[in-house]
Amino acid sequence: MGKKPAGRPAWLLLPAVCLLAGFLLAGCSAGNAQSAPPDELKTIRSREDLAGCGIAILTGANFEDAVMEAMPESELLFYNDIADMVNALKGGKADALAMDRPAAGRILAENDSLALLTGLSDDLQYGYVFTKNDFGARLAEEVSAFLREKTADGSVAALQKKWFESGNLSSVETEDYKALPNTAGAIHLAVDEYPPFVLRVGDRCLGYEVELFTLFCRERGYALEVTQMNSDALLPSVQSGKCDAGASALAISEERAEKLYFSEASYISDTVLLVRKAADESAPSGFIESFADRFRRSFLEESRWKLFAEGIFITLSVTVLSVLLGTALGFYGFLLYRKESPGMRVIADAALALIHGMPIVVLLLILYYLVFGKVKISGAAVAIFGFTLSFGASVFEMIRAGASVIPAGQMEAAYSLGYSDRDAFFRVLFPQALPHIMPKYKGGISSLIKDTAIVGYVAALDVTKMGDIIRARTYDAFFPLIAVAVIYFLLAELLIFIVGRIEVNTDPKQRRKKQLLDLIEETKSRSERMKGPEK
Amino acid sequence: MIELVHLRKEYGDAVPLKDVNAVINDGDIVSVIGPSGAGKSTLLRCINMLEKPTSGQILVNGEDITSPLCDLGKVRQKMGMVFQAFNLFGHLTVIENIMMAQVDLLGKSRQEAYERGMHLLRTVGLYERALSYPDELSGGQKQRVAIARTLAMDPDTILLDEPTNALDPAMVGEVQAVIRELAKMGKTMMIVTHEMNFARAICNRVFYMDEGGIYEEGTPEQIFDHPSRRKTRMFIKMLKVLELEIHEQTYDFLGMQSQIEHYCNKNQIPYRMTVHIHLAFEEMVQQMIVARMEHPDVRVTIEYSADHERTDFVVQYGGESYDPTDSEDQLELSVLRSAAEDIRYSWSSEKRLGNTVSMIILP
Repeated sequence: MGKKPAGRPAWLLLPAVCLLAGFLLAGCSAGNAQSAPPDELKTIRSREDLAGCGIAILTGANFEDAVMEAMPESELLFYNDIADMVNALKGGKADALAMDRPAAGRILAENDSLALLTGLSDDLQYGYVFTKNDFGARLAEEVSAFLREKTADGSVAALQKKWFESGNLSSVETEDYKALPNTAGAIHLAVDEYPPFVLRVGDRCLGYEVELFTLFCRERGYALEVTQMNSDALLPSVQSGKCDAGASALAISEERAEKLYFSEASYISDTVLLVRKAADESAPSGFIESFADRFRRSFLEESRWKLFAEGIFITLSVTVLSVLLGTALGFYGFLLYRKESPGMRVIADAALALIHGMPIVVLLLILYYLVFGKVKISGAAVAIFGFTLSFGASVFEMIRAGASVIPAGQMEAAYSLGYSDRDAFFRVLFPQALPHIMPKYKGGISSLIKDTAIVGYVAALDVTKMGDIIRARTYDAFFPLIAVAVIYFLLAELLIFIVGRIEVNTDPKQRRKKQLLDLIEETKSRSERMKGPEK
Repeated sequence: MIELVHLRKEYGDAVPLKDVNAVINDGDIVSVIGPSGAGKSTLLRCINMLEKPTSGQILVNGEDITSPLCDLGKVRQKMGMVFQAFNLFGHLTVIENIMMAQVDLLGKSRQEAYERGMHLLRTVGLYERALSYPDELSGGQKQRVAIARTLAMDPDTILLDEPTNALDPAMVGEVQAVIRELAKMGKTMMIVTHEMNFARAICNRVFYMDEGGIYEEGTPEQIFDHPSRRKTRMFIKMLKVLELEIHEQTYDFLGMQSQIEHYCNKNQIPYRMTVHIHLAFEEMVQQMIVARMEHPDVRVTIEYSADHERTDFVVQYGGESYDPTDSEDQLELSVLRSAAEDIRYSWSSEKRLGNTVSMIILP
């Protein structure tokens, strides 16, 4: 009675969160401009200067060999994405960065404070990968033939020049793969985000490898569908046949060739090293300019806020649908479970153990690659399916725990009055169990929305994945992350607020007293009216 | 009319009801007594099918309710049950507890249900508590509400499963008063109880249950005053007579006083007599006998007869011949004389407990 609606304290936190975010940003900006006094950061002017230094390298890429061969005394520092590497270099954690030339070019275009030191070996070969089946074998040959043709007539070189030497990638004119007609078949291409080979602008993918493949498809009459996913999901996607082909600066290697077909190289590169410019050579920017610049780059450039909006839509869709369907599943499942047939119990317990016994990521991957492996279904749909199962199992457990708190005798009293089991459940047990279930339910929803951050693994572009994509373009690790965090916070609070309102409205004690008092009033006035005429 | 035909109930290894046969006529008020575990509650719970019998039939007005074709809901509407644990619906107010089934199952309007509910609450004396929640009531109040809730459905039969067992002695009276009124309504009733005197007052039949069935049945006079079969006799005696044994000086004095109190409550012995019994125990047994014996070997027998409204108090003890009435404990004796009369002593060298002191407790 007299409880404040659940959402209120959360809204008061919002200014605090924004303030905190602001401070973090300020700190990061300062840090990136000059985290340590200029003279403390080592200035590298030649390869020899790098002896014993840390060199940042992307995990999973094939730059290791080249670097180790050229500079055996250096220390390799592995990073999972480019933005992190760039920040490590700027901040002094690493003294050089190893990259292929075109990607390095993009980094330099966006970061004034870095410079190219030198190139290393030049045997880096990037190719397209195809599933190891008949279709894949055929495609690999056709693409290789196409590449040979186009290299011979200079189109490949022109394409490379266009993409690798352009300043503003989003303004580059390119073939639209969505308009390709399907005459010879359809190809599903899996990609990650790796400018300038593959990048996302608005609602489509661009880049050297994408356009090259689009031209191939146009020539041979294939329709093309491009799906973006986490880099870890790329090769498994093609291996399992979920996608027919894959690209994102994939280095041709023997190990990979065991499981996939490679086309001939679409690009041959050398590995280059990037280093920091000397302190006097780069112009340090003020805090306000830096903040405004980063804001512009993360949200305004190329209308990137639209990417966030798309991501929010996916995150919300997956969350809300999973909550609704999962609640229905868990509830209905519990009603069946109550029937007490031993067979039902065994099945239910086994299903629960299976669903909750593995990390949700693994469950989604199994659904995407195995259960729905041959089915043409979007990643978001698979995510909804998986989260529905997981949340449904949680709801089931919550209701079971909540129901067990109510003494069984009350159900017996209901039966003795003549209630059927079903009616007794809804009229006696459930209303009393509900206040016990609601707090856990709210917690479950809050967890769910955050758990959806992994749907990038099944090729769904949610808020987190969009944040990753933007990071890969701006090389700014922190701003997009803070934005993503604030978005999750707001979404979670919104959902909890809504559920909280439902909780208050289902509180039996509040509502009923009012109903009853109305009834008493009615009875009194009615009996008074009846007495009236007799007077 | 309710007929039980070869009713059998098994729970794994236990078989509380082996082969029960009985006929309960309309208007009968049957009390079901017997030792713990004899299947009394099980019998009641089978009659309204809260427990499914393993085999056998239960015919209610000719309809076999054990059959899957039977509409159990409809049958149960006409057969109310009052539980030892009250089982009120915790999320509803008192009046709503009484209204809910009327509206849901009998299709009455909320208005009608409300008015009938308030009328019943008035009958059980809880009109002012209509808007309270069950957790705000005492045990006796809860049980009275439970009875009102049962009556709201206007049943033909009411089953009461140890309705006063969970209550403090102070509240037993108020609930018994309500049940007494129920008995006057002419409904068929079956009540499992340990309250012998109460059962006597309202019932016209008694089932004594033992050995997996109705061991003996008859009118209250037959069962309580002249039980014919052995086990019935033993049980009745146990109900009527309290026997206490003391074997060491450090026995649980307060525990025994508590047992005496419980016995007095159960037999509804008037207050003053109860006080006197306690006094007699304290003075004669504790002070004058046990305190004197290093290794006491004492048996106390207390027997109350409702008909004669009299309590016989007998103490037997071993050891050498010792007459406390002839001792110098003048103070204890005079206190004793305020509580009891006709205090006699006798000695027999042939008995193990040779000394006997008997008295009659004053009302």
